[in-house]
Amino acid sequence: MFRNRRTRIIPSISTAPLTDIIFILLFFFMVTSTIRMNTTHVKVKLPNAQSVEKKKDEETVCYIYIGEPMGNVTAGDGGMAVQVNDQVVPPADVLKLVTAERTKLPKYKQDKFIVSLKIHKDAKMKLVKQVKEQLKTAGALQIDYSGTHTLN
Amino acid sequence: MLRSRRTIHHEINAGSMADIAFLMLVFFLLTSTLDRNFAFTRQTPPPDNNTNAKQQQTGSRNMFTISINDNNDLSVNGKRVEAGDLKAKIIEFIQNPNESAALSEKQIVNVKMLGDVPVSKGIIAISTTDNTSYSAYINVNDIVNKAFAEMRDAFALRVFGLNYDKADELRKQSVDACVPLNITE
Repeated sequence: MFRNRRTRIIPSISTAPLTDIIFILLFFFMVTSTIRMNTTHVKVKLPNAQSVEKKKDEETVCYIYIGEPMGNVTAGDGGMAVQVNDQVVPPADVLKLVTAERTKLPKYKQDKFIVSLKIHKDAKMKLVKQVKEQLKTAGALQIDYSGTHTLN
Repeated sequence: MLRSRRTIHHEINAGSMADIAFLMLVFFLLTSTLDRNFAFTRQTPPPDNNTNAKQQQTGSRNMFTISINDNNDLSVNGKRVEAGDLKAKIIEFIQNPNESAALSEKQIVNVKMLGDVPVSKGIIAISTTDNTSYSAYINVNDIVNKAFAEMRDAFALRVFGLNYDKADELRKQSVDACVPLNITE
């Protein structure tokens, strides 16, 4: 209609497919990621191990982090601080907190209570043993030791 | 109504929908992590007051003690060992092919699917000092895991003709009962 041999109408670029691309990206991230439950107050550099396997996050209930304190967290014994779930605690309080977490669960789930230990590779065994003794007393018998997977 | 030839066909601007989608995406990126949790699981025995008595009962023949000192050096039952040799020593201890009296004893256990099988009574103990580095401890645990994975794989191949990873759950449980991983701290 408005055309003759010399003028060309350049069609405007439809932006509707852009929204489809964004939604696809969004769904990708929704499927592959986990909602972060705990804000980290300690910096943990996991040790390397070959025999670690991918664990599903739904089974773990309690996370214990031992690492270098960040921000205004005071370092404990050996320069490392202990964080249970999302609060930094002195090492002797681990028993109290883990027992509280365990008793929150219904009875049938209490035997399958898994604690995930994410400990800095340079942590000293004194602190680790102290935490593990308390876990044993608290009845947390299944422990996942986290590490980064290496091929050698 | 007839559309007049002068009406310009207008498209709805979808740019604002893209903005809403971007906002949702950014919100999602900020609140989540691509956390991949890699770990190995250990089942600790329940706190038992007679554990020490039980250990002495099994006798030192069936105890394989790996000690790590402050310098992260390894020693087995008192003798210094290099990390590279540890796996072979564990396998030798558990399998005890020549029925040596210095290595683990075997007992006959009735296992589902396989009947009576000689099973090692060996227990691996890992002891550390206060200043041992955690990475050395994990390394030793890793070597123990690898040793048992190798033994279980070889056993599964011999008995079922399948690699351990490819076996189904029941077969894996049978193999685990024949090559049990007993670790104490």
